[in-house]
Amino acid sequence: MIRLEKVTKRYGDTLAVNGLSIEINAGEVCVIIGPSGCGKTTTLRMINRLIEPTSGHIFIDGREIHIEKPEQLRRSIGYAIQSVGLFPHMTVAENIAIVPELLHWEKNRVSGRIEELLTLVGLDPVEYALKYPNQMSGGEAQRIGVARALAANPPILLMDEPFGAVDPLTRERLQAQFIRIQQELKKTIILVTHDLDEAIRLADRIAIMESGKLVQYDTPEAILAKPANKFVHDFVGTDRALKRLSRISIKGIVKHAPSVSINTPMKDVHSVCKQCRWVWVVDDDRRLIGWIDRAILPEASSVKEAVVRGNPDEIAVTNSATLREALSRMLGQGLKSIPVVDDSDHLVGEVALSDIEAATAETEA
Amino acid sequence: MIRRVFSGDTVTITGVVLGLISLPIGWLTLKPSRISAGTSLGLHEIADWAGLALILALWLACFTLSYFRKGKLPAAMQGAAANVILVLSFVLSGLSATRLLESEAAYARVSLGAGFWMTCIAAYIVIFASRQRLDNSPVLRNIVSWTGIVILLFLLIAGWFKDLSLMQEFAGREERFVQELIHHIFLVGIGVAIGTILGILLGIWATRNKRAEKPIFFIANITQTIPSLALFGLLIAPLSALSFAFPILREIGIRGVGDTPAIIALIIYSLLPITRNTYVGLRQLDTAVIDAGIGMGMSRMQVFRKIEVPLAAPLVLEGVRTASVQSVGLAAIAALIGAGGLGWFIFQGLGQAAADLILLGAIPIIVLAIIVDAVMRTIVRLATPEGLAGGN
Repeated sequence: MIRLEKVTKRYGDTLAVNGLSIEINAGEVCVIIGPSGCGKTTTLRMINRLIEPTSGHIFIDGREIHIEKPEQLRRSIGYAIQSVGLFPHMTVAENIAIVPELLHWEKNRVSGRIEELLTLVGLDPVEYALKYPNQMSGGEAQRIGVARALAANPPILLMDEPFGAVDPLTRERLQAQFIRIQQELKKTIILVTHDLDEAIRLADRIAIMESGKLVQYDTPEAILAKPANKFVHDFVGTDRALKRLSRISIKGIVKHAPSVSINTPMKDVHSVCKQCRWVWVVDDDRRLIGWIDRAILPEASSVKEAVVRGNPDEIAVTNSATLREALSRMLGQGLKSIPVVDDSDHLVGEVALSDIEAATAETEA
Repeated sequence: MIRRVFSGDTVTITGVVLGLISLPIGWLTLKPSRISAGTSLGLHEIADWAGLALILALWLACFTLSYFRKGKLPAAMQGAAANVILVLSFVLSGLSATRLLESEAAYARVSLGAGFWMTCIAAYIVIFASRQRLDNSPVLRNIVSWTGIVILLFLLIAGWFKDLSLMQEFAGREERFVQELIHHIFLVGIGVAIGTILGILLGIWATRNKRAEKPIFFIANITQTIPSLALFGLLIAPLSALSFAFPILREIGIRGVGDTPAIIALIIYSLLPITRNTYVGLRQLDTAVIDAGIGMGMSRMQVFRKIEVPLAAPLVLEGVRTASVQSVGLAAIAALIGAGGLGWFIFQGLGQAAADLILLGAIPIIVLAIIVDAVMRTIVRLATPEGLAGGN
């Protein structure tokens, strides 16, 4: 657990950080966000003493951090930055080995750790261990930067715009990987960004800063639902309702879906659902293959003939999707409801547009 | 038309043109005695038609080959042809000297003339051009660079050039030559070594201390503008004053004339290139790299040793290379203030108006500078970390 108490950093006449108090729970991702110059990076760098606060106290697990030597402290805190800062004259393996070697790990343990970490960040150890930074793409370098920060298995990770310097597609992949890794490792992570979507996607809690002050510190859902003041309101933008949808899983609103097997006789289709206009069509294994529009049903003689076939990747969402994904899929397909499938395309239910509305209204209240 | 002629490699063509111009200019000078004026002899007067035709043909071959801009073979052949020209020029001159002196009095001398030297320069220009084109094949490049020079060294030792006046000047002074050569290397070595240590320290200081930065470079720049002759001279007065004030200094060899002022001057001249390169080498480092190092828990010393030193080393050594090559030349002046070195022959030759004695000092200085340059380039290459040597 990390606790900052009335931390202030003054440069000449300007207050970069002004009486900041915040508590970050162990195992949580805290994203600090705000416009440039709001003091977010300064705050981050005070936690590993790259910057010393003018006043105030910082505690890690109840111990005040300036009791320890800065080098010692930093070796127990992972550090990853936007420009990565890989050492160009060292191989990937040597870069990752920096902190373990500072901590005098044994050789075998270090090489085992390098392999483990490269695998964790999705890079082939055999292919990458001996490469030099200038032989890699920006996205690969970022991953090595993260692997390096994790090298000595520190409980705390400080990340300063770790996905800032890569293209949007790579950034999305790195974020997905970050979420996966964090689910596995449960580190206490403080991440600085200016990208609100990134914050909403990655954070357990978001700390919004404005000119050195903490203006709101809460879960993404809460911040989106109840901005603390006009600044936060403006900062999260007018589409905050939409943004909030990306924090809510569809799991809570999946309901039973009317479906028929492709081999069902035509006359039985009506008995499946009397009111609904659409009925999902599955194969004998309950895998989704398309739908029937009952408005045109009387003209068709069999289910096989009436079915509108569709690729589940396009017409359905998986049960791990968020409301935002479901909504965007519905709008894209022009549907009022969308089938939900599991990882092997088995139909598990459906989500209706009206239910998404209801869910939104509920969190709004 | 003109554009077509010059669509070949312009460096090579420059060399070839210079080579052709030098053919009719006096290659050898036959003098009745060491210091008297003599008669100039052109290439046509010392070589038979076959030799003349061969050199002409080789120049034209270089010219033609410069148009084949692709592939290693034409470039290597061009380099080979220039090497043959170089060796041939020396051999022709050496053999002619022997032949000419047979019918002359004992004091007669044969000196190398402008035409000969121009041909050597022209051949080297073509070799240089060929080297550039062989950038991707180090083996061929080294063969082209060094074959001619190695052959010439063997011929020199075998006595093929013993009748050239230059070698006759050497003949009476072998011991002195070796002694001054070693002394020259000693002066340069000590000067550059101390200059390197001081230069690196000053460079580091300049990066660490904003207030020191300006005065350091102000002084280092000023020293470079002092004419070398003046600097050597200027050091005499304060040093002799010091040595008179503190006799102990004199006992350990520090005096107003001799090695001490020479070495001090060489140190001063070495400072700027080394200080500047150290400063730039450290300043150009990506701040994110240093930030990452400190952020991961490296101490200031570890950052310096493991990051800054290896990354700045190539540039620092590049500064040492500049300083060394420059010092080899500057050390020639040291002879003026009694420090000896190869400059001694130059000033003796100037005093006696004996051109070949001057060359006896000047040529080894040039050769020494080339060797020092090559050695330092190799060191720089070896010190360049693999990850910086271009992404491939």
